[in-house]
Amino acid sequence: MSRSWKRFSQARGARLGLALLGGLIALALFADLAASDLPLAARVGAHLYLLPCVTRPAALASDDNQSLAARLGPHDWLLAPPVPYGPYAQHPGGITRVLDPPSHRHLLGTDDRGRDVAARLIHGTRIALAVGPLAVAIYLLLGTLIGLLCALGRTGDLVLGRAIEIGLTFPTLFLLLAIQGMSATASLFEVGLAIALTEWPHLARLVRADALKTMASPHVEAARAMGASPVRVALVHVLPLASSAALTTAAFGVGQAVLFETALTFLGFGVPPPLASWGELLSQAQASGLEPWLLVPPTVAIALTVIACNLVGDGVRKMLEEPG
Amino acid sequence: MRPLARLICLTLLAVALSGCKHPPKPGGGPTVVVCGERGCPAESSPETPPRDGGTLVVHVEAEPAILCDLVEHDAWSRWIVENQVAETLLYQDPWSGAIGPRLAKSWELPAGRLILHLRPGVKWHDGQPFTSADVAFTLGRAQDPKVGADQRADLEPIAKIETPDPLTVVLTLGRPAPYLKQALAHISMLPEHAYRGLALRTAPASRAPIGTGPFSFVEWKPGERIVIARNDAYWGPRPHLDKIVFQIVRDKEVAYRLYRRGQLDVMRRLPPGRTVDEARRDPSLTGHRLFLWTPRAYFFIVWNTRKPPLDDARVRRALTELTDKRRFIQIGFDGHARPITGPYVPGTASYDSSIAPWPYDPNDAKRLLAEAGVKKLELTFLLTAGSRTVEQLATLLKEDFARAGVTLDVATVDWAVLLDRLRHHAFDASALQWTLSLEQDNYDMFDSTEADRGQNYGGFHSGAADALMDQIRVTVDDTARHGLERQLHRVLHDEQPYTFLSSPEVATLEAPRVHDLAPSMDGFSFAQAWVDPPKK
Amino acid sequence: MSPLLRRLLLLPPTLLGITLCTFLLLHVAPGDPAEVRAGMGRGVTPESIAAFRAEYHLDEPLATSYLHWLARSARLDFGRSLLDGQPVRDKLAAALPATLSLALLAVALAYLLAVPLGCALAASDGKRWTRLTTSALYCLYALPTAAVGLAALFAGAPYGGRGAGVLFAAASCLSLAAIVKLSRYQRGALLSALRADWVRTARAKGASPARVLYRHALRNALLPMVTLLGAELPALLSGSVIVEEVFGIHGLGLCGFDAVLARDYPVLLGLTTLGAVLTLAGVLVADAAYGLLDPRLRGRST
Repeated sequence: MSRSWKRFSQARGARLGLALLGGLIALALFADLAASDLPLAARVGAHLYLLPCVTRPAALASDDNQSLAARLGPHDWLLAPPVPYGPYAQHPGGITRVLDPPSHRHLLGTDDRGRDVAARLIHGTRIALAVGPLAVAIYLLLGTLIGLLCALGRTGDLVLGRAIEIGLTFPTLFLLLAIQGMSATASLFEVGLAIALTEWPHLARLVRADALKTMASPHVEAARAMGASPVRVALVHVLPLASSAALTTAAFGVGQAVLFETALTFLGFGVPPPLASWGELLSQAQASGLEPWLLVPPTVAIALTVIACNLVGDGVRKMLEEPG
Repeated sequence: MRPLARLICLTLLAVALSGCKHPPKPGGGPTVVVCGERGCPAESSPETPPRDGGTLVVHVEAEPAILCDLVEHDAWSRWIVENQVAETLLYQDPWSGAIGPRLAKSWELPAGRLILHLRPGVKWHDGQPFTSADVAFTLGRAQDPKVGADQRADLEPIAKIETPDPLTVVLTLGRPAPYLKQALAHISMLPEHAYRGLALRTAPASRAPIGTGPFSFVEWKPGERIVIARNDAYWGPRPHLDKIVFQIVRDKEVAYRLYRRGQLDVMRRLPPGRTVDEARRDPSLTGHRLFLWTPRAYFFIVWNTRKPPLDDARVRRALTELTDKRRFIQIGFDGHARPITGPYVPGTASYDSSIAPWPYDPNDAKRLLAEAGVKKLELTFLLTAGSRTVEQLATLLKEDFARAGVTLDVATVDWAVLLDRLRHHAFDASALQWTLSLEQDNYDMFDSTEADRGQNYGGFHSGAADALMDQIRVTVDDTARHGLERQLHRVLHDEQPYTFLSSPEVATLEAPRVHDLAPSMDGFSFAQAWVDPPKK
Repeated sequence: MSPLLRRLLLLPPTLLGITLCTFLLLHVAPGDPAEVRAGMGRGVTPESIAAFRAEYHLDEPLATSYLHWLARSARLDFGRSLLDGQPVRDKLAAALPATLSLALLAVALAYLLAVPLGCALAASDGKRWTRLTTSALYCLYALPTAAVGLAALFAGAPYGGRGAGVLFAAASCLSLAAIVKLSRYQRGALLSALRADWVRTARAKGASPARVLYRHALRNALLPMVTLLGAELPALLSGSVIVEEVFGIHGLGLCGFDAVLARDYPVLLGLTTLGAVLTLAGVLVADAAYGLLDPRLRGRST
């Protein structure tokens, strides 16, 4: 463990990446504490509410930070989250202007529906960090399995090799549509699945190449000469080597999947509204005259996430490299 | 009197709104032209008379697929072709609805027939004479249900088309046809010789249209522009413009920037992210004209009336009362829309202006739901990705409905899926927009027999409405028909097959060099427009 | 049989598989193109929808329809677009130059910038500015293409049409990721080449550092870069959807985007086939080079 960690931290910035990623995960987990339309804690009319932003009590169903603040009694108090707006509330506080530039009310301005950009940015972390790992998990499984099967025998290779090539050339947009069509509506899972279905062939190709290389290596040939079954060879000799390629790909893959999700949502084929996604903010930036406060924050958020994932990926690669 | 009063009110309101919020600075911002129900005020007469020559560049945000408005329902395909390149037999004023001559110089209405006398000496752009054979050909195609022309239903009463001589067309009517003349004012004549033996969609003349109009087709560069130029052999008054370039710019914001840089002369709509108030105060638009007008169109929520409990009118009314229409207009259209209560053009005799919109009243809605025995209601609202207004509506509905315990799930599907679900009645609710004719036939939206054929997506069926619509369709007398239409308006208001929302206002921008060009529901009439010479 | 020939022989079944998959997927996807085309027009009738289906052979059973398509496309006739009735071949031919020039321009930009950059980074390995540049490249790699394109528009980049300016702006955005990727490969390859025994020998024999770098190491390091070309071109082709949408370029990407929304089957099938041919060509080149480079793979064909 400690040797792995040492090797991991040898990669430049790997620890920084891990810290960044940790921060982002924390932000995603505690998004409701960072940006919510309900307070962290409040005392309203002799009632004490703890974390109503998470528990969402029925008594406050039609309230938000602004309306509560307006009707505070003499002994009441309210502790609002750093960003006192939810990601879905349109025109919180009764302001009807849309596309407000950053101000003391809305630190990052509002979008074209009068929603707070900072709140949507924070909650967008959830989408990015849900879709990325989901997509990677699916294609890791698929890619490794198919890549390994290719290495096992010529017939398998012939058929699956073709499948890989078909997958490699398949247009992403149709896949997404077909997947959307099979269920009633677009959802996060389908976006993840679509990304996975377009990415697995790339991984399968890598695994296959690695596996073929390993199969041709002297120690595998020796094992086969000694009568080891192909499955055993694949599991004992090939998989460990191939899995390092897979793990490295996975670490980098999360960042790529986040970029992918951004692109899909930007084109209008990604996560459905009103979910707060960074790609959606970008498409709003396009549709509303390239307002800088809609363009810059999601770009920075995406870049930070991708950089963090790639830095961690570098570390993982270093960690898995054969010492020496 | 009523429309005039309304126009004055509207103008006053606009002035008051603009006056109190943003005092107009001298020389800052565009000149705002507020159009009423009777059209846009004429340009205050400039010293100079119209000038001949010059090129007008018009922004087109969505490229038409083909330029044959008989089979193509896209708006720009119609606005580029109808009465610019190709012409109709009759002409209908886009605001007053008055019918006048065009390719038919006069007409007679003996019992059971309509006799059209065509204008002599009219030639197609390729030099061939325009004759009654072309009329018979075009009307025959328009009648064919396989073609799917917009006016097909209006032509249904025609039993026989005869052409006794090249300049006369006799239409024999099988039953009264109240909408026939209006239909003839919106069917562009097609040259038979260019379509003989060819499919309408794929014939070369559908990409390079041949007409008789004041402008002739020049070129179409896909993704870039469509160009038409003055037809010097035109039978009518010579247009002023040399050329009109329809510049295709998909990104509306980019188009807005091009417009402000002077590379586009006309923008039919402000980009969706821009508000009228913002444009009004924009000093870089000084000298431009900003037309504010309300197209004949309305937004509505369609309910699947076949699906319990939405088959109960009380439930639909409750949902209408749960919809905060004022807030939707404020948020969805920045206040620039007016509420509408029925499927007719407000201000016309068909529209019963005594009907007030159902109020926003969650308590009454709860009462109605309880009365209908609905305890728990979960609905799915279908929308297509990318339509901002509908997304805003869905978010509002979700909030509003939750107040009465109605759960609204929002499902995003693409256009193809939405259409499929609508046609097969596999939905709960969705929001759509219809455009209206001045004389609107609502048969195919609301008649029970149209649920599986026409556009009655909600499967609405009401004995009272059916009876009224059957009667309306055969009543040629305008006053009597309008009376029946007002009754139908009332029935639809009570039954709420749709939640009628609003008619959004449109802001059209024109550069200072453009003159005598007002927008309307039927596009622009470029024949009178003229431009200043380019500045050196 | 040589592995390359074998691969070539396997191309047709792969291509066939791709078209079959697309064909099936298109028909699984919900939404009827005839209905989409009819839209919400007032005159739409079941007859008009049926007539449209018949006109475009959409009413045939799946198998017949696919065989017909195959037979026609063997003669390079991909049918007509459901959207505007134009022959698909003409539409693709009209859109291909924009996309192809975009992709080729992006590849050219990427190599022209990445090779010298990679060399410079390798030559002055360990210096502070190298570290800074590497970090900057790392950040650039993480930017979404759409955001880069929008920022370029914001900065006043041209939009629409097929002018040199807009193509250049779009190609720059498109090539950004490739530049970073290639320069890192180049740097890595050069560094490892410089450490190789024979380079050390050259150096020991008194060759100047520049000569060692450019004559010996660079040559060797460029080889894998050529292999990357095959892999990079298809990625650029598919990446062009975004930049075409952002910059309003009427290319294959935008064509496909519209076709998906309109369920324009013939155009989609034609596009997939064209894309597959381009991509397969890329993969073929990459595989052939890969086989040449790793002698252990030579004996075993795929």
